[in-house]
Amino acid sequence: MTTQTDCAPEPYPGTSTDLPALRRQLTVLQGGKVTSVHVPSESEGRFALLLALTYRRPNGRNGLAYRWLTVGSPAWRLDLTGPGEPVVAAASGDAVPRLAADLRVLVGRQITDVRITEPGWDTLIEFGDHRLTVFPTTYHTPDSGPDWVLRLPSRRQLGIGPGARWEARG
Amino acid sequence: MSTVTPAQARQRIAPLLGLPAWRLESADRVLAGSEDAALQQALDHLEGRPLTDVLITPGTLATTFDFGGLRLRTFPLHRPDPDGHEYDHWLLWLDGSGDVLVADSRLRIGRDDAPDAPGER
Repeated sequence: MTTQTDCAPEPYPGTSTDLPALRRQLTVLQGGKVTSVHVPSESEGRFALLLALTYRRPNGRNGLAYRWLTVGSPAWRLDLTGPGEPVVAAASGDAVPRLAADLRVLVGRQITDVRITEPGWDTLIEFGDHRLTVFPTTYHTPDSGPDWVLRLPSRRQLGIGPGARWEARG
Repeated sequence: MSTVTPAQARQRIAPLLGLPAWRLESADRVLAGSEDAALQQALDHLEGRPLTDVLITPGTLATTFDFGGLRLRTFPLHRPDPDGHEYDHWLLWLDGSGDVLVADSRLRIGRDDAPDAPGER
């Protein structure tokens, strides 16, 4: 005999946990170039990068789109990587004036790799010898916002997070 | 305080206190993150589990405390401050020695007679 019970309500309706599908969507970031950095004065660690993204148009030709990547997670870090130990170049806990100055090191850099790790869905975006890591820290709390958001060249909006989920809008 | 290496830190283990951003994970899922509302319920998973390993990333001091398969991962979120302000990333009281291990912009060991509260110093 099988007993059925109601499932716990999904705290994030409409979101997906299909990580391979998300990875396919994020391939558009490959080679993207940072053209500017925006850090709001009331940032609390949040910031946005304006990216120049090359993409394939429906007619097969390449197009260029300028799109924002916005980091909303309160936990992220920019590390200078290289042959030695990684060094923290900027982090979400830093004060805003310093944060803005430190993040400008990304301007002019290209994205060389994007990874999302399991089970926590840390996002690692490589800019050559700099790595931006977004650490999700919200998984089971309703009404939480995404950890980061990317506007695609198609103008659809990807929201990654909170936690191990994503959604596309628009 | 004297500087200790990550290898030395791993040798001496005891309860810890004070983490600014962290996540509790099993091998295949996340039990809780530091911004979640029901933290106590998640942390109850750690009750009675031994701390079996500590992995410290040199440079950033990102640390994973392994409680017999449940991993408590911590995320340092401050760049070392040139003005000398320090932010405790975590504190670890060592077993019966009276010493406390402090991770801020570096890894140090000292006496726990008046340990600093986690956070800005």
